[in-house]
Amino acid sequence: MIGDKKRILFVDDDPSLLAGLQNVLHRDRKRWDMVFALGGEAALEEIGASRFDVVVSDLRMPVVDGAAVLAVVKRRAPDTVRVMLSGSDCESASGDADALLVKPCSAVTLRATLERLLGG
Amino acid sequence: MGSQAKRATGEDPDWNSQRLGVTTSVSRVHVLAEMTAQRQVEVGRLFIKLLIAQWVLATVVTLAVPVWDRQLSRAACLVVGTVLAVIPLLLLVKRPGLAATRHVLTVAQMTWSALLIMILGDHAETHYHVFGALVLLALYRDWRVLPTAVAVIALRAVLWPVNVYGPDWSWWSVAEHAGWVLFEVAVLAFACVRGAREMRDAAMQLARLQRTKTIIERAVEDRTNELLESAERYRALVENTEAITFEYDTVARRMLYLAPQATRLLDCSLGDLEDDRFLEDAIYPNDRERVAAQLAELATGKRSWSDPIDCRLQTREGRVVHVRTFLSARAGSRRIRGMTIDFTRQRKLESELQQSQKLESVGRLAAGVAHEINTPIQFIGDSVQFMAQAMEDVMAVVAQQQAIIGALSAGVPAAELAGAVKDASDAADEADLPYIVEELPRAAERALDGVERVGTIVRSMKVFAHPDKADMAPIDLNHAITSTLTIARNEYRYVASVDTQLGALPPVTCFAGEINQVILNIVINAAHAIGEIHAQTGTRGKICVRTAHEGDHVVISIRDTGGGIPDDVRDRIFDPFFTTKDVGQGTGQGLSIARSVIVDRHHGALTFETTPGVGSTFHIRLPVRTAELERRAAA
Repeated sequence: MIGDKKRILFVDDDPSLLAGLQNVLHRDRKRWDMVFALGGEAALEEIGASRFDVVVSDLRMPVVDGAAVLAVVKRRAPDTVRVMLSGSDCESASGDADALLVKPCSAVTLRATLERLLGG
Repeated sequence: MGSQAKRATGEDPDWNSQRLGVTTSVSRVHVLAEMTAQRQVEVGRLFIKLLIAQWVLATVVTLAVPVWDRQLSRAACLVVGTVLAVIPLLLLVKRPGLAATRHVLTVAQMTWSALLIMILGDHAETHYHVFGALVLLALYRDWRVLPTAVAVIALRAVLWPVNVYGPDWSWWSVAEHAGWVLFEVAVLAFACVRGAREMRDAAMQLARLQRTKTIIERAVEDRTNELLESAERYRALVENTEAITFEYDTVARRMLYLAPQATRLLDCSLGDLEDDRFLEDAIYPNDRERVAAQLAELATGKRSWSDPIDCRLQTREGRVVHVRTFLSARAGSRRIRGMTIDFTRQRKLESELQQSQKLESVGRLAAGVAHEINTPIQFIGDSVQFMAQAMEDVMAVVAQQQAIIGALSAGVPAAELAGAVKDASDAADEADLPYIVEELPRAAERALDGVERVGTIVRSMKVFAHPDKADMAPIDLNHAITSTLTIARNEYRYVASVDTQLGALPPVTCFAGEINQVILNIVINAAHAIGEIHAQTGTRGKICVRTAHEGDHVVISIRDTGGGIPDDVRDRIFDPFFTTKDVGQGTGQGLSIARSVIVDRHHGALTFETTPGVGSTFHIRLPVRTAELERRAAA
């Protein structure tokens, strides 16, 4: 059962935003194994430690930004689906992303997008 | 023209004689002729008197002599004497300069000697008449008359020896007489030649003097014309341009000169320009104190003469015009001179430019602010969504539990309720009640915190965008700085942290919107400078914002750890349209407008220090006393 769970990594530099996501996606805990990384550096550690089915990252972050995180994901795990969750729709900076979500993004949209990307 | 005029002042004699080469000789000859003619007239007048006197004397003597025993009869003597007087007299009067006149006069005078000797009875002393007549003839300074005289004397001696030598003449007396005559003639000839030469020299001198005089007169005329032309040119320059020149007596507080086109600027009549009261009142009331203070600062040397004074004027028709005045004064003089230009159009353009720069930065800020707001909105939404779900889940569990409790209290046996209890327990599991209990308060707090964050940003926007007022108002500068930093946060927070050390400040009277704009421009520049370093090395920088109260000024210092400003652009960073950024990244107006706002609008100072590789610090100095000025102006 645990082995079938899809693994999703959420990356943002704002703890409140991560906490909000965690709250709203709590009801999906049984189908999705969700990890929340505060900032790009923490995300890189997680990516180095295990593999994920989806990585959802904020774009603009200090030190290591979302583009850098997704670039690393693409290099190390090309199968992982990459989603950019950005405050502004700057598509130019989301070259390595498979999907782009714009903040504010409702739980319904987020969930639907993730379901689509994970194939249901 | 100018150089010619200078040369014509006679500093260069070579050039002068060259310039007047032809006229010189003509004029010398002319002057000599004039002098000669004058001399001939003068000598002629002398001879006219002499001839008349001679004739009167001879006539009287001829008639008075009682016994007449001369070689000629009494009547013949009277006739000859009259002829000898009338002919030369006529010539002297009609043709005083003619050579023939002189020769006829010479012949007449020599003959008169003979006649007088005879009339006076061969008096030996009468012979002196010959010598005297020769001397007087020599006054003509014409040696040519002397041979004529000698010829007449010789002829007389030959034809009428008795008349010359007396009745008992001898060869010795002939030789003696001839000797004296020739000696005197030689001396006189010498004197004539010398005299003529002197006269020529004198003529030359006179001609030169006249020439010099002509040159000087011509030069004076040229210079006078030039001066008139120059005065006219300057008058045209001064009175036909839009710039209004004036001269003002600071002690008497009177306008000494004011260019007439000032009537157009002030919508007034020429008569109004004479009215010093009207002119003083033309300065816009709110600007009077400041203008007076700036003039005082000029006098004490606190303000440089090269800094123009800007103020508003109100015209007769009530229009308000912005003018800029450049002043100058000679040291120690109570008079100041100046030039005033209508600055209204530029002022309008400036404010439009400032407005467009403001829009530009608002535009770029909007994206940043949207980002800043979107994050809290995102988690507010998520948190509230979670709270709603949790409420729903809890309500479902509670409803099931209520149903079980209701059944139990109605006496339904517990065994029959096993299914319902299991459902309720499953629902509680599904809802994860412990999680909800733990997270609900946090979610609520987070949502409230998010609302506060959005509120802060929106309030900051309002403070920043501070609706521009026409006049200054006192503001809390620290609050303005904090707000500006908040809305600019997205510009710097990924590359730098901000450290604020805000000291206690008095309220500063200023154009708040403009000051915020300046702080924003400098902070954004700092963020960009740090951003460049960050892009190369990945190190985060720091922006330090300090405020301090120093005497009658407040100082805002904004320090960054960017790359500093390169030497070669340091002098140009305040130039309009100067930018080192790529096209589209900036209009190059930021610092130029910052300077204009701080220096021109607030009479403060905007300076910077920079060390390549270490960073830059910008200092904004604003006078606090503008508040007092405004109050006093308002009062």
